[in-house]
Amino acid sequence: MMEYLSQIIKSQRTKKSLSALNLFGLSVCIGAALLILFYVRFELSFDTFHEGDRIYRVESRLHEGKVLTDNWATTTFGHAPVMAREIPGIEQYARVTAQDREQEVTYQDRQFMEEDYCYTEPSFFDLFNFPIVKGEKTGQLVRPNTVVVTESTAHRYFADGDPIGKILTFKTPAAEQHFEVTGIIADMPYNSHLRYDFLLSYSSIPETRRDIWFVHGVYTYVRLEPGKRPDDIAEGFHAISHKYKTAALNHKDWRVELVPLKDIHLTPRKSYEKEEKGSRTAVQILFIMAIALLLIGWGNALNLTIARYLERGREFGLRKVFGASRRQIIVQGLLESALFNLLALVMALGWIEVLLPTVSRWVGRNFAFDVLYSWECWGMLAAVFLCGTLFVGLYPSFLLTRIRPSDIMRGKYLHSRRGNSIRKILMVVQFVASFVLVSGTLVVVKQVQYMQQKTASESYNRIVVLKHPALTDNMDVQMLNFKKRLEQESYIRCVAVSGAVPGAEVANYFTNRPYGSDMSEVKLIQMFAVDVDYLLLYGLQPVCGRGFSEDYGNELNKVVLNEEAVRLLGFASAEDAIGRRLSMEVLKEPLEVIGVVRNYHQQSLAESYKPIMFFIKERVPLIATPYISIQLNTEIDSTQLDRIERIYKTYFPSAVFSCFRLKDYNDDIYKSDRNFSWIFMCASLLAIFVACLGLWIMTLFSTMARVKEIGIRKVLGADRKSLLLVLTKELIGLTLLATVLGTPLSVVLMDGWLKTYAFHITQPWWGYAMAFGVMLLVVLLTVAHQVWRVIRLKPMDVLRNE
Amino acid sequence: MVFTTEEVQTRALSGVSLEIGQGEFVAIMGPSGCGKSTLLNILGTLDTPTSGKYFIHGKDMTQMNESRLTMFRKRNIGFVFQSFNLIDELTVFENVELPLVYLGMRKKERTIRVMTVLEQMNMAHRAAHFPQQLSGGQQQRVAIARAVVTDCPLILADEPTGNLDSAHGVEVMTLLQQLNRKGTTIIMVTHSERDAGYANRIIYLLDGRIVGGRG
Repeated sequence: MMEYLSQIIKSQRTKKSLSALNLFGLSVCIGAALLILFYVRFELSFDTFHEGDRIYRVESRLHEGKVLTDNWATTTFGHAPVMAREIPGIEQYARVTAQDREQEVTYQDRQFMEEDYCYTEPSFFDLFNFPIVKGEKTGQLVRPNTVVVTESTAHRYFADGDPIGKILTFKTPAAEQHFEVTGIIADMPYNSHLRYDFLLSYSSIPETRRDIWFVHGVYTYVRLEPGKRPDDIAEGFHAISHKYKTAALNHKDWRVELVPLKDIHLTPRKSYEKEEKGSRTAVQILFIMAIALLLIGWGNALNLTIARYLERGREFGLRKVFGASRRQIIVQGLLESALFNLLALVMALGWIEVLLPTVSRWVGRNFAFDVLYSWECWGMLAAVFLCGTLFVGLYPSFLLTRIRPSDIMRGKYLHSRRGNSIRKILMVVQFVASFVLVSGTLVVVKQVQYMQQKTASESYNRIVVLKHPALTDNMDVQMLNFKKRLEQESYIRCVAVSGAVPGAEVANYFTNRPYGSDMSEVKLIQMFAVDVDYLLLYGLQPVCGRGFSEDYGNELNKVVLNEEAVRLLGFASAEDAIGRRLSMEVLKEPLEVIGVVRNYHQQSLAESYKPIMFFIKERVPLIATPYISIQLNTEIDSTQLDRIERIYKTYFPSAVFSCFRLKDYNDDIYKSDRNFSWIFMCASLLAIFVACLGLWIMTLFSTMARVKEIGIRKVLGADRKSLLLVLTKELIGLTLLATVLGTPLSVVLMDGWLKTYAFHITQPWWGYAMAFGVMLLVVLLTVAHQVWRVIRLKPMDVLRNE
Repeated sequence: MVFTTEEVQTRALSGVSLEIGQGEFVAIMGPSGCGKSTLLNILGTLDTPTSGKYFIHGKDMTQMNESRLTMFRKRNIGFVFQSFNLIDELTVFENVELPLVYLGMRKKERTIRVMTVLEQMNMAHRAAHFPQQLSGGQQQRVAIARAVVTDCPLILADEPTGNLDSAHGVEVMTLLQQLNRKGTTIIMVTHSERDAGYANRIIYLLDGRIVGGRG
């Protein structure tokens, strides 16, 4: 063994810098690939820490005929108990309320705005694995007005004091409730789609609302009995659904779908879904990317090893002559490769150690929080090491055992251009991988740019959004006065109170139909609560009719639609819709359409246009208006923000002041897309860099092999131009081949990715031409120096045998 | 001529003054490292001297730039080497054709010229073979065919028989002699007194200087 090792060290000694370069390239590739694989594992590991094989989320689907009209992540409050009672096979269920209203939570002098809370049932702890670290292990959340909080939340409110038995006050703009802390759970892991700081007891919800059927307001989780199929449960519900339909749903086909717990994170976003979703396509692309990086790294190492082995053919030939067996030669080759891969892996771990914090911050997720304790990650390391060792070590060793010692001894294979088709194949693979990454980068960057441009409005720089204060005496009057007071400030142009702002989901689907039409005509439309200034402030483009205005007196029964709502309600045109009356499910009097605005992107471009109805917020007070938008004349600065906060405090002295810049908020929408484009860009830069490193090393060898030929050509009268062509022809061909092979691959992959967006670019053909150009340029630059050196050689020095 | 190596500047050739007439057959002899290679580079316009002049037909080669030298070389000079220096990846035909390609000749004319020369060298039946499939003597005949295919007036031969057995060696020397008799100027570097015997003039080189001559 030591003998082998000393031989390896001796053999590396001779070409130290090349070995170092090779090692560097491979370690970078492994490092990047592992980072990506860790991320892929993180995305795939969502909700795997529960014993969740039999746990599903029940989701509501509404069809009209064959058309899926409504696709929600939620069900009504009533689903779970009825399904458990009437459909055999449900072992346990837990409901988790879905709401987007922030609450102001207070304990003594500590006060924060909180949105990560939910009402849920005691069975929550039976279904999910969120261990209780303090408080009774059983019977949590049974009593009304009790709350279980996470460790970090407890620390936030109670510092080091004992939280059990303490009372927290929850305030919305409409109500105030008190909750007793009865238990502490560990913080919910990063790879959980459920991310709550407060679990409030479901029994705190007024009894009349706990099991209602007309609001899709809860996520329903069920655990099936062993052997039960989710499709049967869904079918079971379909059979009884007619009994529970409200009048509004009578003409619809009402089904549920049971989505496996582990799949929730990577399925496309649905309405009423709060968590940050992952994309299965993106995860697949990332996985392929990691493999591509590994192949590029290993390809380099293998290429160089073959070249080095042939150069060392003499040594191996001698060994064979002196009686080394096949086995011994292969063992030495594998050992050498293992040592090399181990070193690269250790270096790669070094890269990861250095880069991980930055990358995590970038991605906005602590995706490697459990890497050290996860056997999967250790498995990945082992797999990378093993595959690498075999990939790099096996072929060259076999190659050496196959060729005759006498041939090697005579140096027949040394610098030979023959017999290296495997090396060429490796180069093609590397080039194809690089090409796919480069062209993919262009597509992703273009799409992200497109989305940002479509969404961004210059005016967003000048809009700051305040969160609606929690319950205060005389709220309506105070809010009106506050708004009027703000409008007196010289730097403020306009103020509007609303149920959503650009970038936020409007949700609040209510049924509407043309007034007097049949019940079967009802459509679900997002109800957007606004005041008279909202449409003006956000500059929504009218198609026809008008927006809200105080000049027309009472606007309470007037509404404005977007084009999508017009289409859905079946009006012939926008003009046709003006003056029409609608009946909305919770109102007796009809609403009159006074205007239609152009469709616009309320949310990210991943979402298609949704039907939206704007109405004056006082008309349906049960729809919350959590946002106060303030448009300034200039870009926001901190002194203005300070002034706004002071004014706020005079009207709502006990409320928490919380605000965000609309621009930042909208930038955040595409954060994960931007991350994806960054990952792509870095990976392709890396791929090109490492592939070029390999190319450079290969050229070092191949030009050596061609020095004689170039000398001959030169003597025969070849000029520099033709020599340049002779030397680079192969590379140009290689790049072309990579383009031809890589383009369809890239087109298919990127098309799959683009389809996950409702609005997307078409792939530009010039993107592929550009990727080819970039690759060719980089490749030629890489070999330029060596080619130039060979072209300038004095031919006689090479051709004479002195 | 100043020759630069990594350690020191070495004078490869100095004070070499030489005139060779058209139609001459000159042999250059001398021990290894005496500057034969450098002299051949300069004569073949593959290198330029750091000082001094080199004229062919009254044209000053030292004043020409790289591309004009290339143009001149491919029309006027043919090379024959000890190790043949055929390109292994090309067939016999393609090897011989190469200089004509660089002259920009049309394909049809090239084929005629190449086949004519190969027939003269008695190698036409081997046109589709690769150099590795031929014997040393055959390879050298291909190399000579390549040197003369352009009808160049000057052939530089560097130890043309060094890698051949004596029978093949005689064959090659006879070929060169025939070419010389048809008017081609031949300058040959050799270690072999017997080969030098074919020349009508012999020049001796030692430490970069001409130390004597015969003929």
